[in-house]
Amino acid sequence: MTLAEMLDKLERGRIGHREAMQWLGVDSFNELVDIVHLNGRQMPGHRAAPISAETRALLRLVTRPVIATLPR
Amino acid sequence: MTRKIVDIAVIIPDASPVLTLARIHRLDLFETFSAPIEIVDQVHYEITKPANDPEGRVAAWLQRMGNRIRIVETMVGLGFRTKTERGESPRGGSLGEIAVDEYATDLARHATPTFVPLVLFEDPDVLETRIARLPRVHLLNTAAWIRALADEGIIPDGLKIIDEINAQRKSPMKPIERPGRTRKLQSRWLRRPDHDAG
Repeated sequence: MTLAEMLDKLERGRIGHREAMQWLGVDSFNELVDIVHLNGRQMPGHRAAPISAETRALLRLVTRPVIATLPR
Repeated sequence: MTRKIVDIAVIIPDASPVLTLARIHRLDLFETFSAPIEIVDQVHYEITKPANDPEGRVAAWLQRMGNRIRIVETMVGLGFRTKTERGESPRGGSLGEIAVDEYATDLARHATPTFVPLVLFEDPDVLETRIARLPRVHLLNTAAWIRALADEGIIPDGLKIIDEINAQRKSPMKPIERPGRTRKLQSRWLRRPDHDAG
């Protein structure tokens, strides 16, 4: 199992954090969370920090839905 | 209640947002903007030079976008072009940043009090430049922009796009946003629909 596969399984909740810590050889939960985040993943059940209401409001003002078939 | 009209432009101060999306064939995301997009001439040079745009994706995108993108002429860019036309090889390293500083200085002096620059960047150094200190500036990196588009339901596949971007990087791109300080303008801009008296 590669690191990416392990993190994917962890994120999807298919393995527990104890198993992940064992696989990585780390003792602290904080260290596990750091590794998960540094690899662009989230701990199972966690949500990424939300985008602020200000940004969302601003984007609502200056965007329109993209049509799926737009040429790239 | 009096509404204040805000005038918003998307400013792209470094080449990375364009080049990142060009690499994953998703330059179409810029087409979600209904506000004008501004790119200074020196950054335009960076994104279109053959080394950065070997397949001509950026050039084709610029053509497709037409006048929705404004290339802002700067003295820095003009000097660079003049020297290049003379056959000289000026160092282009930090000229993009200097050109953006020049444009930021111009905006600081001449932009209207209702102008809101939405700066879309990737290089964290942008946070230390003059454009990041403009009044009412709203800073957003590519990852935060895509996340926000997905959160708002404007695009359906935001997380997949971020995964594709991260697959091309050594470390994942973390969302960065710095909302503008718009105390005087927020009555219209941030007012929620249920509080909107019209």
